[in-house]
Amino acid sequence: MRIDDAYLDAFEDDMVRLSRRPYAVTGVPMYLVPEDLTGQNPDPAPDPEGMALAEEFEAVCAALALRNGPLTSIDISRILEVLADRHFLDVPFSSLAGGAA
Amino acid sequence: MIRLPRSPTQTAAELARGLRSGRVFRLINFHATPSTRRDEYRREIAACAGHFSSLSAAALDRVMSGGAMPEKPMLLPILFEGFRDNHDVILPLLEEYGFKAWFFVPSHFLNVPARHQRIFAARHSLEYGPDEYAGDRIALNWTELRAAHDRGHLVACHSRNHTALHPDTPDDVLQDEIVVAKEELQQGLGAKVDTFCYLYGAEYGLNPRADALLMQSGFRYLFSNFRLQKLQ
Repeated sequence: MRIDDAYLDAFEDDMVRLSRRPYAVTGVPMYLVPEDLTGQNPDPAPDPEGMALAEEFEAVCAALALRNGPLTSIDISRILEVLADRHFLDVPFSSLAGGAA
Repeated sequence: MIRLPRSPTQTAAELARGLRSGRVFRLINFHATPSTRRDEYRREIAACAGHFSSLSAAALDRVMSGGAMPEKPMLLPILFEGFRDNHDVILPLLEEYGFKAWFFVPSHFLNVPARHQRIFAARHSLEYGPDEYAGDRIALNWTELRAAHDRGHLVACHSRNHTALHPDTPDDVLQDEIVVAKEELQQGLGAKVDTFCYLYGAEYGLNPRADALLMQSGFRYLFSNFRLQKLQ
């Protein structure tokens, strides 16, 4: 996936906007990756939808590291929050918040 | 504050591998859910209805054991902290649209007398919005939690006093926040609890002494910021 400056600007705008939500009273969508620490199950095979999400995540991580320096744990959290906000529904999840109709 | 056992770059690479499989859980993390935001919560939950399925305890076991994912993506509405408005405001909405909630509860909060719950909340980083229960309790009570559990909602342990655990946390505090918390939650709920979530979503591997207590106590799953980890 190719990330240009305009895409990355908009992505960082969303990272900032979403980070300013009142987390104490706001519903915050997030992805969670299962991990089997028992080692009893083989690694699952890729699937097309997962591949697309992973590609976008990796591309944004790489582009942000190039622009801002090494990723931080907060960056990872903000990136996943933006992806979840954009992809959970047909409309951004955050567009349903506040006074939006 | 998000602490990770490995570097952010390595963590991102691991998460990308997990995302690639499509085996991901979708969460909506809630904390306090005041009635002043009821319309907002309704819009959000209604928009999710039809797109997602709920994750039962049985389905969690199946998926975490390598079983097939449900046809519809799974949505886990997480209700952190054990606030009363979770029961009064958002739970009815989740039930109206067919979702199962996950209550992540610091067990002792439910045993604090109503008169002292606001003080306890302030001292233990339990942040809520407008105070809608002036003079009354702000925490869930056990009757509400048991009834929700009986209707199929899930309950996880979120420490005992909403305390962050660090590598240098004394043994007696770890014991209280993990072992006693589990016993207290199970006693109040009248059911087994095998899922834990550290404060600030810490992952397995950051705090070996606390992790060992989780295992000894029989916890099977750990929710963290980016992963749902099967411990045993």
